[in-house]
Amino acid sequence: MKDPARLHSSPDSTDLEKELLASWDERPPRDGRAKTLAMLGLAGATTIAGAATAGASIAPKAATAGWLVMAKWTAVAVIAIGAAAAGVGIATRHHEDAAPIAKATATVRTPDPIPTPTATIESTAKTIDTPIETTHHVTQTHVAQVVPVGASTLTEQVAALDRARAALEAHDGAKARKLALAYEAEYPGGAFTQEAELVRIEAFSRDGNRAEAERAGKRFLAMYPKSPHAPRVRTLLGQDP
Amino acid sequence: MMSAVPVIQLFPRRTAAVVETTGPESGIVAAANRDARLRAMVDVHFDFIWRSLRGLGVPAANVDDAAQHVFWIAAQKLDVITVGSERAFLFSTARGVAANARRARARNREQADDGTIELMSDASLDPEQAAQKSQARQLLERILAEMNDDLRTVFVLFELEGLTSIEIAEVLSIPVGTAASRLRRAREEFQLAVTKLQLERGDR
Repeated sequence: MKDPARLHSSPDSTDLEKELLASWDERPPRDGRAKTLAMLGLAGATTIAGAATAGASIAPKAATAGWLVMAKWTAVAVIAIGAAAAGVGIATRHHEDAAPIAKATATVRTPDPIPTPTATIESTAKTIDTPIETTHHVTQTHVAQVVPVGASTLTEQVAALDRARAALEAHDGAKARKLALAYEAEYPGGAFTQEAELVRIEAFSRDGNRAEAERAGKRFLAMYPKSPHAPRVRTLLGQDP
Repeated sequence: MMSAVPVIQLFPRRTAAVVETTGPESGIVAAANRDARLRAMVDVHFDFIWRSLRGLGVPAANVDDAAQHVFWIAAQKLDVITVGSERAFLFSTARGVAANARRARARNREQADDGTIELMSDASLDPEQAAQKSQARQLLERILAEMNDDLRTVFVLFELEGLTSIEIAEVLSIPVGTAASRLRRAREEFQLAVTKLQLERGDR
């Protein structure tokens, strides 16, 4: 099937059609990638260099914030690497975000001694996938689908978040995290996304999973620095609110 | 009788530069693989997602946050994004985020879209050109806003992002024929809207 000529270059288009389409010259900010990577906790050397190159176009405040975020994430990475070297924490973590790679092949420098895992990766993946697979948002099919948000109602969102909060209050951190993730999957960009993330951070914190609480908390603060929940998140991270 | 031995012990450290891991190390490897995949998604698709969000009606003031939100959701769902369908997942998520942004904007109409201001400050244009371009952009956005979501999406992907019908079908997980049909209708709506504008302006 042959595509038609684009309107902006078609000889059949009117001048006004071409003029309107030519007005479209959207260009992402040069530091957009770097900021996004920093928000995701992936601000490596390459990204930092890229951010520095793009620095001239960054507003001072934004640039400062970006560097602070990257510095924070770098600190987290150092802590994580330290924990891994000590043979604790990271090696046995089974957080929701971990890719369920059942059979990983890689160059590995074996640390001493290797503790017996508390669960296999396969079983972890199964546990992780359960809440997501039961939602409508993402499936294992070729292309993930987003349920039209318009189909949802605010009442349903409140109820979904309440379930997560109830689990948190019942000291069932794992269930609270699953329900919060299920909310985020069901309502991407929903009205209570921040609250759902707060539930996850609190659940990690209450369960004593400091590394994951920090990871999620710092990500939250990078995304929503002015959120009314930011002081609470900072408190959970042991920072001044 | 053989006893159950952890896989990691079958590959002595001194001989195994590359090992298959099922023990605790696999968590580190998985995290590294995950981070690499996520980074690649940002590197490859950030610009496309950012521009698509603008095309789908996210105001200029909010598009950076919206783009970060899309990738944040992707990070949460990375485990279940099929390899090779990253762009489809991201765009699908962007549509949801954009729909929310449009609703929020409709609830808060006083919020100014500073995209116009950016155009006006384009140093490569003289004031008259900048004003003309700004006006054209506003008209384009108005026409896009009046299209239904399916048509607008296909129009943006084809006319503004330069995707082919086949690529659009992949991104939207719809048959190519459906993509082509939506594109035809979207172009007809666009051309009709422009014709109305011309009649209103009484020019050309």
